[in-house]
Amino acid sequence: MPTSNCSTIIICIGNELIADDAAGFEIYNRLAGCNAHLEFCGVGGIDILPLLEGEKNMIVVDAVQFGEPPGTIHVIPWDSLPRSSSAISAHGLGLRETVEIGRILYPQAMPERITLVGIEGRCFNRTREHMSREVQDSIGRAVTTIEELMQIQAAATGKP
Amino acid sequence: MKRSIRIDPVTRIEGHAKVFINLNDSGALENAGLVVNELRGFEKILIGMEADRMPHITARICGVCPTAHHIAASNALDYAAGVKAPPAAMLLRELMYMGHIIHSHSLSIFVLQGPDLVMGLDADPAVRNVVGIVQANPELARIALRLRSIGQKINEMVGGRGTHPVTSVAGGITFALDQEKKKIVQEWIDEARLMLPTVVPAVKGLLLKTLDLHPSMLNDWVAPSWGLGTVLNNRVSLIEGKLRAIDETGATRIEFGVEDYDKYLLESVVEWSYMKKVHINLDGLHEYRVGPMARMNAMRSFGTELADAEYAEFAKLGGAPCHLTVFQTYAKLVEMIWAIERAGEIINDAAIWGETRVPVKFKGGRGVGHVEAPRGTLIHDYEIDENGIIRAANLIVATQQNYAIINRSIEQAAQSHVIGKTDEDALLNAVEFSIRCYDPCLSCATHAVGRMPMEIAITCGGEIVKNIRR
Repeated sequence: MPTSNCSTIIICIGNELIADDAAGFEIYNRLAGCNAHLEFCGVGGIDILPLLEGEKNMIVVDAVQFGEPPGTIHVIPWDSLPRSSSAISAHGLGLRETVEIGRILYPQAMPERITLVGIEGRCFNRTREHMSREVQDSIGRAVTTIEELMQIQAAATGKP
Repeated sequence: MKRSIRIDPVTRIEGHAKVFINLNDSGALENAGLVVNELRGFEKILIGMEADRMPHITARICGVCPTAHHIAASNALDYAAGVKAPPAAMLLRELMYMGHIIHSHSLSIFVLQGPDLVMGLDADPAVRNVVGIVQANPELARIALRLRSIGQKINEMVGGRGTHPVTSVAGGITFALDQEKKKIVQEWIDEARLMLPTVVPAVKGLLLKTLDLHPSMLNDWVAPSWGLGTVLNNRVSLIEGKLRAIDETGATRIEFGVEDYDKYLLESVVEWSYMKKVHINLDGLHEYRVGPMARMNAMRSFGTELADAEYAEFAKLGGAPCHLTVFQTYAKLVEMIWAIERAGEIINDAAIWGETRVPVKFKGGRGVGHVEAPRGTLIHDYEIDENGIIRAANLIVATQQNYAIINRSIEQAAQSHVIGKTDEDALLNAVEFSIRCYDPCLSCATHAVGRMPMEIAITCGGEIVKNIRR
């Protein structure tokens, strides 16, 4: 398994063709060139595992629906993530199940710290041009939030 | 005894659905079936879009079989434009597709059905999931996940993206192979082949153990039906060829090009479900099966050494044609072996280095194309105007075509494992398992999205008298 030179992997998730679900893709584009191992996944879950290269920190970026106003940016540590249903979708696995599996099978590749940066979305049933104004306006703030989070985490690990 | 049983949720199938099992006043089975509650209506969403976006847009119908929609749409656009994609383009599309099959069948066997096989149908649902498999057999899980990952990597290399590929277009493919990429793909294929001696006996062993524990699956879960699969050059084929319909005995009843699908396949609305049924319309209406087992029943040869040897073993155990519901898992295993071998053939075919794209112009008219999706025949049919805009769309997906047989299997599972039995949890697991043998993708079938909480209700004399939830 390759070893990453970065202490942080950022995995952006979403559907760039669907209104607010494109938030992860927008942020992925804005983060290009950042000092982290940056990846984009159309669907989160088990596809995440082969991307991990032993980074200490993982930041997952995705549109979420936690019942807050659209455009709200959630920064949620792993231990505080809402428990998903026990159901396993044919899409693969939820993030929690994926991490559980990864910790059993590939402990050396798994990050020590996982953080979700969720962008509260409202519109998930229309095409890309219908992204909510609030979500559109939050993209820059989300990028800043992620960059600040990386700085804090890098200071803690002593590695960019 | 009158009773109603609900399962909420039933796991590891995609979409939103409910199963009903109706008993008559004397407690005997009256009927049973799957009700699909959600409608998304992708066929309507597509109207007004540019035709050349179809391979990208329709891939988003489903996170499980996006490559199937991607290639089916490309084939339909080729037909609409009156072009044939060059041989190199078809080989590269097929290579992408073999990666997709390796990925999808690995996921289906190990993640979706694996928990039933490894943990047993009677295991607590809290541990009967893929995390439970990983804990119970980490070495097999590691190999299975690596195999899935190799398939996805091949799909991504050729398709440009893993989950939602982008390179197949009207008239060919935009991917360009070079020697370095060929070397990498060859290494992945070699690695996958080395896993087969571990994976194949393990899966077969688990399947046979399940049959030992539940002999009714071998004796009663038998659903003779017509079948539909694609054939080319006297072998199973997935992205091009003629559709062959066989009857219950395995005899070929007709072969036709996909452009004639509406002459022989009849879609009909079911009043209690958003999923439409499909019958073969030939001297009457016939329920039929699609998917890996139907493909093998329709054309009993893959043309590669390991897959043909394993198919011979499959036929010895399950018959030819095979109508055992639970053997659909075994059929996926055989097809996965073939996908690995076929990928090796394609990457070493000299024709793969030719031209990969021809110019395309839509003059207005119909575009029909198909593939054999992991779960069965998938047809895309578009009406495209002279400006290249979609004016109508019809998608026929695998789960719709299996609908009648799925309902028959639910009835059989209810008969053998539910009615008159007392251990409700274990019995309901069996009903779920019968459905999962078809690996239904309700996102495709209704073009819906999302996870599927499912409910099983048993009524007697028209009344629900008891609920069990977990």
